Amino acid sequence: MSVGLQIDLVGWFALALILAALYGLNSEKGEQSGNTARHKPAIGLLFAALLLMLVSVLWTSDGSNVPLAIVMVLLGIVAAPLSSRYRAARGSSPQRTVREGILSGLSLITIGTGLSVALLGLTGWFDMDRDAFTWDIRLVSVSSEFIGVWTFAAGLMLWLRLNDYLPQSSPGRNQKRFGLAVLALAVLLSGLSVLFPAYASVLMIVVAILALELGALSALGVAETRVARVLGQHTGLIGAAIAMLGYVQASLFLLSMGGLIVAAAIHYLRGAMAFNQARRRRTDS
Amino acid sequence: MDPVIAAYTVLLAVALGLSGFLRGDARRRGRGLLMAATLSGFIVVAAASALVNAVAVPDLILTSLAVFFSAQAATTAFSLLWREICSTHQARGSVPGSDRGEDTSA
Repeated sequence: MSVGLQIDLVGWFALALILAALYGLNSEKGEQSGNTARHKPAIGLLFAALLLMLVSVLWTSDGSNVPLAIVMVLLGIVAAPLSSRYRAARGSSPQRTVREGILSGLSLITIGTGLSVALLGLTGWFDMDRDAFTWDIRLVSVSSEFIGVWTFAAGLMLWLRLNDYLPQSSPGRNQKRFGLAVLALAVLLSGLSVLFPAYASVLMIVVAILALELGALSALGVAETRVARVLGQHTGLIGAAIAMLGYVQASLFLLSMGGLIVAAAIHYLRGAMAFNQARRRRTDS
Repeated sequence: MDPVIAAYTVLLAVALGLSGFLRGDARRRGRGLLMAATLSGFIVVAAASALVNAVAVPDLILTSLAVFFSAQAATTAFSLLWREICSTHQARGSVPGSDRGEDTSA
């Protein structure tokens, strides 16, 4: 994790592709005239940027782990459609089904990204030389661990709720207070483990358990209409974690990607929720 | 990396993103969330770069799991965004009210 990401030259081109894609996806001109021909190439551009970055990462390495990386990426791609199959409950309206299918997919995304952020934070923690282990690296490790586990737990709980494995619950006031208390405790312990590296490993385990509990609390303690909002918050947190990973990996590309994700999440959280696929307006949410 | 440069970059990216997303349709913020999810799929790049630089066996296991899960998340995000765009196409062309309720398996 501490190794430099020596691909920022390619990263600039990828960033230009991504910005062009976001420009195309946000443009309203095509939609008003009934012609959305600009949107599909925009997704192609995003995909090309991702592919470009992956290929350049694999290309600039020494080559020993490249087959493993390729196999893992392919396995992930194959596993995605299998895991994200959504079965709706009988008797629900088609609109509701589509909306919950999207939310279920989004919670799967938060599960995956949360897990990988937590795992990367963990490797940073174990991998680090003790003398190169400065406070900023420690801070990044602890906070990405915390964010990752929190996001993973919240996504898992939301996925279980949306797929009817858990009973529907409505939030109580005590539950919110308890969640805030757990959050405060976790932040305090994370701060302690940054300040006192001698006890850091024990504190990290406690923080991870607290984050699991916090994720469960924050996902179970929301009404179902606010599920999308919780997912948006966690997407923003993932963006912050990506920016921090970019700081550790010395990659301006990841830093700016994290900033873009945080901006998108902020923009989303300020507004109402409406998916075009579900063709719903905010009146029936 | 210099923390000041990092802070500048993040600040500029957030400002650029905020001003860019403001151009979007205000009624359709669900797509904004899907775009954020798609962008967060780019964590597969960070995971892959950690994997190709890993040496010890525990590191290899942890980072390859990270690559697996992030690739899965990225694929799901791309497929969701693609279906959203495709349904925009259909919604423009078809009568309002004809729902695509069957097409929910991603």
